[in-house]
Amino acid sequence: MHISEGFLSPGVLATGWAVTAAGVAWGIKKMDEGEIVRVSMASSVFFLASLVNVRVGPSAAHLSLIGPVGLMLGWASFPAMFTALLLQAVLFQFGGLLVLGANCASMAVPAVLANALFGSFVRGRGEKIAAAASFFAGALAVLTSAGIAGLLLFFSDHGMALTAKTLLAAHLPLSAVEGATALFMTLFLRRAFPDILTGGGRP
Amino acid sequence: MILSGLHACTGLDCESRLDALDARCRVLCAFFLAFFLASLRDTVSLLAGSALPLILLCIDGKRGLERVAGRLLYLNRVSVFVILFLPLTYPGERIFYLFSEKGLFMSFIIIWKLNLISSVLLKLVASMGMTRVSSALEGLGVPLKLRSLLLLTTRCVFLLSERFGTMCRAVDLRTRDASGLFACRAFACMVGTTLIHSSDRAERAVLAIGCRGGISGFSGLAAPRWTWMESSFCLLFIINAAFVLMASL
Repeated sequence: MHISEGFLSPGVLATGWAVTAAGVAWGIKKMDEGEIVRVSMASSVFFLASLVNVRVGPSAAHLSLIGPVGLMLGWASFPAMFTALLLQAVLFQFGGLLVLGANCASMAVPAVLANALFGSFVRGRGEKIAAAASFFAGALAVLTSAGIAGLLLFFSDHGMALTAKTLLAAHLPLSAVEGATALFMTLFLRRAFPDILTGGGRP
Repeated sequence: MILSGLHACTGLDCESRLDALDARCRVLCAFFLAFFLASLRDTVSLLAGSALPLILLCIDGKRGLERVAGRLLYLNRVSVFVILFLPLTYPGERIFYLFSEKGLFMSFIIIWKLNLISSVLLKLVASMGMTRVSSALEGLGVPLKLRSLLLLTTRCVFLLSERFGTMCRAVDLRTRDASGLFACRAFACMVGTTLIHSSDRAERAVLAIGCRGGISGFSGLAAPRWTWMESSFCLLFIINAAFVLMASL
């Protein structure tokens, strides 16, 4: 999902940074001092979770958990993803520092959207509706993220249109895995610790 | 499930001649040069633009070069994908009815830029380590909440990695060859359990931070200083950009 250095044009890079700056500013404005530790814990758990290989059929995948992050943090997903991606870029050179804005925007925007569209269903009473909503939140968040990454590539160079379409198609099987993981995780958290699924609001 | 070795990754934070410079200067110069390199699209300007990144790479001698080269080699795994994929999907005239000529050129330019930009950012920013990056962000006016979040996340990542590793081993012992839906379920429950444990820990951390006087205690202790050396360094980057622009005309 990470776009590497060298792919994006200066205009797209600047747009990515502008969206990320606006999202991070809004996210930290809505976050009070007491919440910083909670967000940092969630951010580090997702940073670590993205380092784990899950076996899917004959191959293995790194899951991004964009949907569950959105359902837990809401707008705070922007600063949480920004810090996690900055750490990944500095410690592991995943993605890069110049493309950090674009990468953060392509992951945090779907997280916020997942919370806005499915958050109330996930936090609602019906378990079956919550399960379906968490599956779609997880799966669609990954597809939206791949779609945004594809658009960023397309706007950098129109010749990369087919590359962008292939990128989106390659994420279709992964989105099913992400959806299933989001479903199991949300059902587990609904039973064990429902206060954590606040979508950025107070429990 | 395999947790990639976090502790094996020590970053590049080690002594460098560039450490004499103010952290803000390093961040500003690095992003200026990286952004400038990202805008180059032909071989002549890229050739002219390669001079300063190469000088920066060699500034700490053989050991410094080896450290960054190791990271660059790791980064270049993406090059394989670019070389294989972009020429196949890019429009234009075909070589052997398969590879696009423009796509091959494009992938060559992208890999070149990837190496130049990454070497500049690795040498000037990533080599500082998170503490100096945070103090640079403080000097550049980044809000306290975001800097605190960055430092706390850095701390929490190393704190929780041990617990996460233990849980990964436990899942492996219980379900050695788990795959498909079962692996997803085990992974989801593992992340959920870590979140619950970390939430308890977060509450205690909030209380401890409150006792120390709130997050204002996270301000950097090193006083920022901007001397003629930093100004000269910035000037060198501007002259380099002007030289590259002239070369490309």
